Amino acid sequence: MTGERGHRWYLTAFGIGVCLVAVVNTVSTFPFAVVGNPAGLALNLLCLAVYLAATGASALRIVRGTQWRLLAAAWIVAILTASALLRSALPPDQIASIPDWSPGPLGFVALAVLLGQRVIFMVGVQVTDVLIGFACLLAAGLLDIETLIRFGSNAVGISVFQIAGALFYRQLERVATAAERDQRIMQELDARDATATQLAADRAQRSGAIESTIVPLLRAIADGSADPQDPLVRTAARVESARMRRLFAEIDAVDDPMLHEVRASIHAVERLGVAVVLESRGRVPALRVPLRRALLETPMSTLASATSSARVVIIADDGSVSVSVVTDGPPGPVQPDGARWHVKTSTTTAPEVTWTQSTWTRSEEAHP
Amino acid sequence: MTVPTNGPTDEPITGPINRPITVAVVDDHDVVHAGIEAWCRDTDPPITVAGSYTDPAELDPADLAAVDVIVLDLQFQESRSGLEVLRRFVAAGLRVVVYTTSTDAGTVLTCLDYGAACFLTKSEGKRHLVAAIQAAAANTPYLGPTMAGAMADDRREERPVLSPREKEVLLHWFRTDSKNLVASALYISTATVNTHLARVRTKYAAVGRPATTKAALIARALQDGLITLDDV
Repeated sequence: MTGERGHRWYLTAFGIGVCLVAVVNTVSTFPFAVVGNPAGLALNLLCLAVYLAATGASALRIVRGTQWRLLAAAWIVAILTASALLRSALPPDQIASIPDWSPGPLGFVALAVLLGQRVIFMVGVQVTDVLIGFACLLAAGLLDIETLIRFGSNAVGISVFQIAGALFYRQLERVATAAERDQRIMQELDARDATATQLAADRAQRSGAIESTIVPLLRAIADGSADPQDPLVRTAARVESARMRRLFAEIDAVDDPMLHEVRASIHAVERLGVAVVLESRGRVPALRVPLRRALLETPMSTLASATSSARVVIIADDGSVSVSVVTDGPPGPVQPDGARWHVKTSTTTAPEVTWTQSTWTRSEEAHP
Repeated sequence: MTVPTNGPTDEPITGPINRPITVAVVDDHDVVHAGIEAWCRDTDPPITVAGSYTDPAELDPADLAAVDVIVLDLQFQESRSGLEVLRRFVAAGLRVVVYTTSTDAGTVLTCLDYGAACFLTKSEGKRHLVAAIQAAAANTPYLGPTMAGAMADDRREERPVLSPREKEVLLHWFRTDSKNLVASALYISTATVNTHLARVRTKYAAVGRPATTKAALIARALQDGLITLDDV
């Protein structure tokens, strides 16, 4: 079982067990001989009904996993009152004998009602029950040693185990809460660990993607084999600069990462004086980073090569995403990895115009 | 839809205009007025700016009846609804080219449904605006790239039925803003590209709420043989 309640199944099982014991104890203790005797029948049946109803309500609460305080107090008052009424109506000679059945199951019924509450409440209920019994003895004038010893041993017999049960449940609940907290902390640590590992892998991959092209260019400029005044070198530098900006934008948490990365590329060329129009239609589905790279690499390289103007259009529907770039510059280098990600790229040129378009179409093999 | 025989200028609505085209500009930014006036002056033959207005509320459409085309922005500082102004102008029989910053597809389609002759975004600039003014004055269809994008993505029930080729031309026009590139990519001539775009625009005039401007556009398309009665 999983989930918060799943870890507490043994608490529920214990609670249902207590309820079953309370029902069996109530029914087995009930003096069925009284059914034929109209005197006291109503109070006996009332007490039986209250015990069974309190136990049933408790079982329902335990199964649902809800908390109760006021209702628990109301049920405790109800069972103590029913028991007190019954005992006060008994003839004095029947106190602490078989017809005086209600104190026996009362402890189990109260335990069912008070499961999960502070143990002091359970002690309070049992003490009240004993005091009610003692008051009945007092009223009947049965204060002889033999009766008092029998009463005392009965009181211990019907209280101690039930109070121990309440204590055990309370401790079990604490253990469960602590175990859940530990598990939650472990899960958070595992998630953080997985995120850190993924981030490190992404960073290494991005670094590799940049180093494979930008480092040779920088080395060539540094050793003088590439002239910064050469238009081809300048274009290559613009392409790499825009690429770096787009790869850096991959780590930002945004609603539409692809549009965000396209904007990063646009900002890079706008700083160089290129006027860019960006239009989009439809909502781009969530695409994985390598797929976004395969889709954007070639059109964004063409964008970075623009001379003075560019038009960028993104069109998405449920099954495909296309990125189109029209510029007044030369086409950018083609991304060789596109086919692996089911990305088709085409470039059309007309006098002083370049149009590069990459389209990804969903297929069974290519999960976004 | 009934086809009117005369427009607001009492000229035959389905014929060419043999005098300078006149426009009125309704936009709350002076720089836009200055820019459009300069573009119109540079056009050959020149387009005459007959009036420049910054607040559409002070404007009675009846006063503009002699103007061929209204260039209308949709966003005004007083947060007056541009769509409501458009509805009022079209109801008065005026030909309106919407020229605004919005690129939202829903706004484009609503303007066309209201009876705007054309919808252009301000980034689409002089080339498209001048062509759209000239087309609107002659009741011929003109379709800018942003309009094409909105039409290609139109999912409303009342949208017209377009052929796969027409959708392809729309999408490529939206992507490239270049009829040469569209023609080259689809292996057709630019004249064929124009025909596809004009047919799509006319199909849009035939759906939605009726408007005098829509009827005039359809009448002219029928006259030019662009569409047949079966198409509408």
